[in-house]
Amino acid sequence: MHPSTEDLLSVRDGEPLDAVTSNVIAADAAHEREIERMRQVRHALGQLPELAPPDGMWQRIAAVERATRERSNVWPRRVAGLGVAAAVAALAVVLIATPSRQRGGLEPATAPQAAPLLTDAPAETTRAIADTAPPFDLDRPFVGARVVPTSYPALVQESARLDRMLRRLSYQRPLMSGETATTIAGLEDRIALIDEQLTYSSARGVPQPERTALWGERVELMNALVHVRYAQAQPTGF
Amino acid sequence: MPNPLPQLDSTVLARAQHGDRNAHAEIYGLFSTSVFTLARRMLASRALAEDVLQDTFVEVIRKVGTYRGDAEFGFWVKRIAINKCLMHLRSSWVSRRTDDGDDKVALLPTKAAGIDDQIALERALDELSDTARIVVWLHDVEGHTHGEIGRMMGRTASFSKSQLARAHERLRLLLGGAPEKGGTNELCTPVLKTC
Repeated sequence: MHPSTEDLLSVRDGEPLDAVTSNVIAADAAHEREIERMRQVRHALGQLPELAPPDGMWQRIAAVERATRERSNVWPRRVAGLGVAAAVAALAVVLIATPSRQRGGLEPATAPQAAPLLTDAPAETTRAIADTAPPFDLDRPFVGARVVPTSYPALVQESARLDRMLRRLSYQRPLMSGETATTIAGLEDRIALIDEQLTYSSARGVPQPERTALWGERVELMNALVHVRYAQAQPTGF
Repeated sequence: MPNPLPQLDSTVLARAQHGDRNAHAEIYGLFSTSVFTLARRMLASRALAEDVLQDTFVEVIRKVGTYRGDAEFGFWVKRIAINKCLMHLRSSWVSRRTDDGDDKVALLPTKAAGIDDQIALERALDELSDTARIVVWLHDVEGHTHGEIGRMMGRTASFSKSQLARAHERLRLLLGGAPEKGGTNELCTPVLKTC
């Protein structure tokens, strides 16, 4: 048996490892040396010097923050005028403005185009929200609604799927209008806030149902973000 | 491990929460170096690190009023920065954006090791895939657990573990290590002077 790098790292980091693998590692000096080498890499990474930010950054940040604050004051009045894929943007705005727990979470959201509801997941653990046709295909138009699971592991998996989808969409089209940028920034802010809450939730021992609700909200926001990105990537978007 | 985060004076925090611009500037002064360092190392790009620095402090100013002291203030700021880094890697421009070629940064005084070694290590770190680099930095330097990293990235602890292993395998190659005859790993890493 040859221990993997993961096994050696487990020993380095003091994580539990099965007895057989532990014995194999302990019996071979080469493995011990490799563990020591990885310890030194970790130490060397920690010794890398801190990097000073460029001069003038604070002035730039203060100016951007002022501009953002002023823009956010007028943003609600501009929602009605969003020019990019109005239905999609409206969904995004609803998701930004209203946490899922207040929405009840069982009614399907409006999809930009009517399409049959997919029912490949168990009915008692799913609910419908607008999404692209699964599996998401960037070469196909936006066509329908998707059933999103509500169980904790499935939500985590769905969230990861949407992350991957977003990365693929990222290659599409870098230019966007100011209104779209604002919508996207709003969604990204909400997602970042939820990510933060999820991180703290484990340290605070937040009950599983609340964490599941957070993941559910993250999936909805990610869905909205993917929609906006997808609409933005279309040639006739704006 | 990175340098310990500075402590924020409670009066500065209170002033910042009431919108005092000077207090905001003090917070920036205290934490900007650690945020910029974190972002530069995670994203391997000075330009993106500047964007993250900006986005992070805009958010810190906007949300400082909601900070309730559940975690150390510095940790709270870093969590925002990490989220911004992860969002940057998902956003559209990153794949098309290239550095301006001038990625030199002002290095602050370091604690140990030769400068050549550190430059080589920094370059090797930049050569890793985005995911592997982020995982190795968050785990080995910032001290996050695999479970925490998995959650941050919307993945699992196992994913984080396998990425960390990949990162170390790649670093071994980049830093000059070669497989030993017979398939066992060579333990010589010249840049780290282990041989």
